[in-house]
Amino acid sequence: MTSMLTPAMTSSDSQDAAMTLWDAPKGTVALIASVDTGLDPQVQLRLRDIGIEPARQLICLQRGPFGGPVVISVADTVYSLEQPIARRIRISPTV
Amino acid sequence: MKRIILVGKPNSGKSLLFNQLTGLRQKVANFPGVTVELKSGRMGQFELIDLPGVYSLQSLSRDEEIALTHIRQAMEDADTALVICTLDASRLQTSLVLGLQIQAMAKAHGKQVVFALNMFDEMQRHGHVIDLKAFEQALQSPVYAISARTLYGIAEFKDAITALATQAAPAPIPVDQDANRLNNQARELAQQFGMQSSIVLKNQNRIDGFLLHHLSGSLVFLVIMFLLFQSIFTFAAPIMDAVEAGIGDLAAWVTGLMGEGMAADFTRDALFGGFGAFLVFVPQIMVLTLIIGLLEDSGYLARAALICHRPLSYFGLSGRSFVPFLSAHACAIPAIMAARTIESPRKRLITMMTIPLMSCSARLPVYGLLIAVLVPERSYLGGLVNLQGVVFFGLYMFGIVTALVVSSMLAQSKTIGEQQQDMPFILELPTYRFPHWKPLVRRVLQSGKAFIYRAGPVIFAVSVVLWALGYFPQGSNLEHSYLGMIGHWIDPIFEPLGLDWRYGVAILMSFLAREVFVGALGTLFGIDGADEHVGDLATQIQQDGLALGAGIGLLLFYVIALQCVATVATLRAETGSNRLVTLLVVGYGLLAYLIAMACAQLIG
Ligand SMILES: Nc1nc2c(ncn2[C@@H]2O[C@H](COP(=O)(O)OP(=O)(O)OP(=O)(O)O)[C@@H](O)[C@H]2O)c(=O)[nH]1
Ligand SMILES: [Mg+2]
Repeated sequence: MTSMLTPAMTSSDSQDAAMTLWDAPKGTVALIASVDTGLDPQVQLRLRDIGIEPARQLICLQRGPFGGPVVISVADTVYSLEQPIARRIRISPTV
Repeated sequence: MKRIILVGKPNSGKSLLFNQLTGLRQKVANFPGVTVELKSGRMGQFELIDLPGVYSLQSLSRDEEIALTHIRQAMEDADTALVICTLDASRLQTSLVLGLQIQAMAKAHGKQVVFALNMFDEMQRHGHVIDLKAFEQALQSPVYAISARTLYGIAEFKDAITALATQAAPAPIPVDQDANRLNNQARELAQQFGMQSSIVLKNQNRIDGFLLHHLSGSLVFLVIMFLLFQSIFTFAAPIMDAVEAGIGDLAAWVTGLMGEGMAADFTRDALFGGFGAFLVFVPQIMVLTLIIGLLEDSGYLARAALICHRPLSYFGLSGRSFVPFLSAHACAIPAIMAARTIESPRKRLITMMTIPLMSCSARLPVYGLLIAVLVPERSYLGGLVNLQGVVFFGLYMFGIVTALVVSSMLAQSKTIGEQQQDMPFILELPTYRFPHWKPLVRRVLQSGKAFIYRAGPVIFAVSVVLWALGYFPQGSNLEHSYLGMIGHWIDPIFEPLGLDWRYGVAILMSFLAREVFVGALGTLFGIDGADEHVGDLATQIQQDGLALGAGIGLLLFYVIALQCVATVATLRAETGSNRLVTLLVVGYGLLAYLIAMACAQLIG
């Protein structure tokens, strides 16, 4: 599946290997590269506690229908995250 | 009294366990964020407290904040004898992230902690084996494998916690409460003892592939919503006919025995005419509860919330508004409470303000009666589509669409809940499960009973009072009764709506409870009627004549108007604003009146 490795076309700054979670195609397995530190601290802590922090693995299960929230699995749980937050999580896909 | 508190991640089975330990019936559903307030019950000599679920010691929504505030208080409180922390055995890591944070906090405060390794049946079903001794040793707190659903290990667990809670409290010990370290430990423990996530999530992800796919997913969503509203009408129809026929026969038999006279008139008009007309709708309430219950148990609600998130965002709402909106079709009060799980204070407020526009079950009798009067019984496509059913669906949609319009107007306003910060939409999608039949059946029966008990006494009282006012002075007809005299004063209010004073009286009475409308009309037409037998009320109204425009107006009036005292009280408590609630009552009342008037004048 080579398509997983091509950066999403919408991503403006695809020079670095990372893309945002929002742009990840369905089926992407990735390591989290960074979580925007500009986010509300409470939200950042919550994300950390559900396993969304640098170097953790996640799988992008579904693109949200009609631009809705993306569906990912982190550790043993499946979450959906809306665009504003998914945009601020950068990931680097692994094969 | 010494207290035991129940803490755990959302949807880990706290409330089901609470029910099993106390014998109470708190709401349980397969959706994260069902319990939104403290619930307390007795277990032996202890008070057991069920809390809303939390993911960690950081709160993002009102329900989590309530739980965390209480947890912090309970840690300081000398009466807290034990902290039970539930772990979902199939999701150890997520459960332990919270579990270890709670454990550390408890140790620092000298509180005992016991872990309830719940959902043990699901773990076993997947063929996973856990070394409980080693797990307990690694956790350094007692662990009990239980299933709140199959009752596996519950008896032992109950004995064990009773023993633990009776023991003297341990001394507080300084512990490292650093969340990063604890989270790492949770991860390691889960790797060592937990199930592989690929196994746990396999089924769920396969089903989601279909149900969240943009095409099949939206289609399934629309079909489910249509079936939901259609089936309240179609499934319940045969049972309702049977109940109606039964009441009619019973009335004929009883009044036959009583012979002629005032007592017989009273029994026929007030008891069977008023109260009976309302009982006919109990099956519909039960069907509605059954379907919502099935949706809640299955795990689909979280998916529906996800699918709705984007569309609802256009109206200033969140995907999480979906669940309160759905349950508002049963009753607005729990729905307003459920809005506590909405992450954004502003969206939560808008959701609460529009919930009263959803057609709650108290409107069912009104809709049912007026539809039977106005809409001919006709089927199309070989019985697949029923005209009355379609109108029924239309009324529900009218409420929903109005709610969306009002939401987007409120969302434009700058003053609504602007002060507080918005939290993002992050929603856990739980495992799909088969319904838990026993509690579901109990809940369905309970809903019928609650419906009768809540509105029954009011309807009974109203029927008796209306009957007395309408029957006397004896020998007069309704027009010249005491009630008729009062009625003529209010005539001018309802005249623009194309309705005479009898409807006016029924509408005014229904501010006590909407169902009263049917009971009141039943009594009035009973006194007025040709009084050989209690025919069905719809036929009596048809014979009496109700103009189409006025009838439609009346229906739409009931969709919009906020006529429920209990809803108003809940709104006031949850929004903390008298002004806002007054505005809503007046606003919706005016809107309802204007729409009804427009219908009556334009359609005729
Ligand atoms: N198979 C199985 N299902 C369970 C068990 N315990 C609870 N459930 C189911 O898990 C779901 C959640 O149960 P609740 O008791 O509502 O969970 P909760 O922890 O109170 O959830 P919140 O109030 O949202 O925090 C329901 O569908 C229950 O039927 C169990 O031991 N085994
Ligand atoms: Mg609960």
